[in-house]
Amino acid sequence: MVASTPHILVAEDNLAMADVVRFNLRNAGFTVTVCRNGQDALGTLQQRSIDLLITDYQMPGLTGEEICRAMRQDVRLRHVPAILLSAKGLELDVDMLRNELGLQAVLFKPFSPRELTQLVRTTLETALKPVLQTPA
Amino acid sequence: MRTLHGYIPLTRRLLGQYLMFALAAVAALGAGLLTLHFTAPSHRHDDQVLALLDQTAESIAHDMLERGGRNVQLLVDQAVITGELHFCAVADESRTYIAHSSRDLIGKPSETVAVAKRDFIVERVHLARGDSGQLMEYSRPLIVQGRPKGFVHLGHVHLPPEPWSHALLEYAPPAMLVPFLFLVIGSKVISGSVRTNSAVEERLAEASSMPAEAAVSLLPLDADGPVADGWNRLTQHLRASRSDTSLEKRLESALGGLREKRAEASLQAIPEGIGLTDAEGRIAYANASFYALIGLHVDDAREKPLQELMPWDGTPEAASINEQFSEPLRPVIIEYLRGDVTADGVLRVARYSHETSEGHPAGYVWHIRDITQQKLSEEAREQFVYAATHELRTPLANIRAYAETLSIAEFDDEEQRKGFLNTINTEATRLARFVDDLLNISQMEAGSMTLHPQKTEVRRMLVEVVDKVRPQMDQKAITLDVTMPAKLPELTIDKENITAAIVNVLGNAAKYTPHGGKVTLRVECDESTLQVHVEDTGIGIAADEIPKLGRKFFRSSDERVRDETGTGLGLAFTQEVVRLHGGRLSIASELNKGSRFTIGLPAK
Repeated sequence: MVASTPHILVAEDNLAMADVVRFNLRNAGFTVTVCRNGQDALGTLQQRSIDLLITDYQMPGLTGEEICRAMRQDVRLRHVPAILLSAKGLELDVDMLRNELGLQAVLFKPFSPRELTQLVRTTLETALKPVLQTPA
Repeated sequence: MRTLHGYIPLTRRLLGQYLMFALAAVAALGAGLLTLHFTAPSHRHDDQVLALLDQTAESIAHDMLERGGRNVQLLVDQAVITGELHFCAVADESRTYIAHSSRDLIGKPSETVAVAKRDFIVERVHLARGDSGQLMEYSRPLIVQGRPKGFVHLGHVHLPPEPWSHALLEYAPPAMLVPFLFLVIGSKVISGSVRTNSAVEERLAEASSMPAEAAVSLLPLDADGPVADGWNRLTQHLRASRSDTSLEKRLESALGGLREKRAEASLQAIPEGIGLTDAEGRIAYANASFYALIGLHVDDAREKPLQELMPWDGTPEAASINEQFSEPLRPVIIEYLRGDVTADGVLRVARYSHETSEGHPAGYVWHIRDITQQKLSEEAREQFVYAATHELRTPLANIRAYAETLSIAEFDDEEQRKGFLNTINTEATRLARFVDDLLNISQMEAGSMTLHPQKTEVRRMLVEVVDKVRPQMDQKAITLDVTMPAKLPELTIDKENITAAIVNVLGNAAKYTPHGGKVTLRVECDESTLQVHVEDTGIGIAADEIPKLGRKFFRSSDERVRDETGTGLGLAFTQEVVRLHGGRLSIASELNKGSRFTIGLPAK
């Protein structure tokens, strides 16, 4: 059964940031789950059906990059689109991250929640289209 | 002036030779004279007496044959007179005198012992010797018409030769005086005539013995004559041509040596390695730092080209590094990491070539510098910038996200809207605090951090501190256990900075304690000291890193620390604030078990 609303996992250790992202995505009609560290996020990805991952880069346990790498090596999770949030600046090699990890986008903090919501919407439309067209 | 070994002045040389030859001549002359003196008279007498003997014998034989011997006595007397003889006599075959210069002996037997044998003269030494002299007797047979008729005898007195010492004393003074006089006069004349030449020669010999770069003494001669005039003109000319450059050259020479010594001393003193190699890389010169930096002993360095002595030789990187040095004329600068991390050491090695006119490298200048500290400092600053950026971006991101959300979203729940506004407020406060930290740090950097002490109720201050950190603890479900006496004194301290210092320590405890852990704030106070202990059940700190915690920008190499944001300034700030209050920050920790930070302040 296809979920009625796309399920988005937000991995963010900063509680305030996680709250505001969850608030905006819920307002946009998505189902949102928040994890506060890398291990929890990866566990949630493996256990539940997640349509899109939004992850902070720097987190306790596993970094956002490490979660994405683990996902790309897991056959079931390989096609889950991911968006990376980062408070880091120039020290991140964005091109490498996008090419190697197949990221949809890298957003640098501070970012616009409206843009993030829009980006999520576009990404899901592109990613879920084939699934929606497949007969149940 | 150097001593001239073996040099004898011309005058003395000439005089020496002159005297030597003159003395030799005089000695030879004297020896000749003495020989003649002793030998010539006796030979002369012998010859004369023998000739007289023959002549007399012949005359007598003739007389006997022609005149029957009438004139024999006459001939005998004549011979005595002619030859100044002692005696002359004729004896017959029976050895009886038939004639004798002493007539009373005629008819008497011959007294002489001289006997002529086979025509030879036999001489006999008269027994009587003394002042009267030595009587030499000569005799020969008297032959008339082939038949022996007797003997002719001659006696002649030889005056005895005087003893040689007598002769010498007698003859030497007058014989030697004149040659000596000549010698003395000759020496005077010779020395006078060569004095000038000798002086010139002496100066030339001095000049030849001096080092090539030394100025030759060119003193004029105080003498007359063409040689002295010529010398004086020559020295004058030389002095004139040299006088303008002489001083400059001497100064140049003296300063040049000094400069070289100073340059050498400077090169040896600097901590940077400077070396010169030939085109093959063999070391021609290198200062002490050079050898020390590449960990080489001076003696080992002579064996191989420098490339093979560098610390990277034999390592996997060697090929790629040596590749860079393969271009002979290109300046090469590399940075070599001695181990795995910057702290293991970083060397900056630069090589510059100097070319020959044909465009080949004549040799290389090497410059080696230990840039470990510089690299560590750069890394620390880079980390700080990254950390600071992160610290700025996080609250800014929240402020922007909440503000934008507030502006676009519909809120049914007023409490939720207020919560959003509060979050903006909290994040703005966090941002402001970070900016304050930056300012504090910049003051610390400049050494101009000043305190603003005010009377402070310690208990109230600590309660405020706890309020500040509690949300951070709650985020990680950390239990904050606070134990403090009901009464705490009022202290004159910089409340704001001390609050920030304790918040820093508690904030660290929250940061590095796992979810669900425990942090204890325990306060003790006696008459002299206020002690604030912050204990956690966190990741702990490695023993070797504890002393480094107060350094600016220092961050532990523990990955669990790297995962957290931080500037590496919090503890540096705390330590500085406590120090300025006359207190002390002490740290005890065990890896993976927890840490205890104690801020001790004087309670006055």
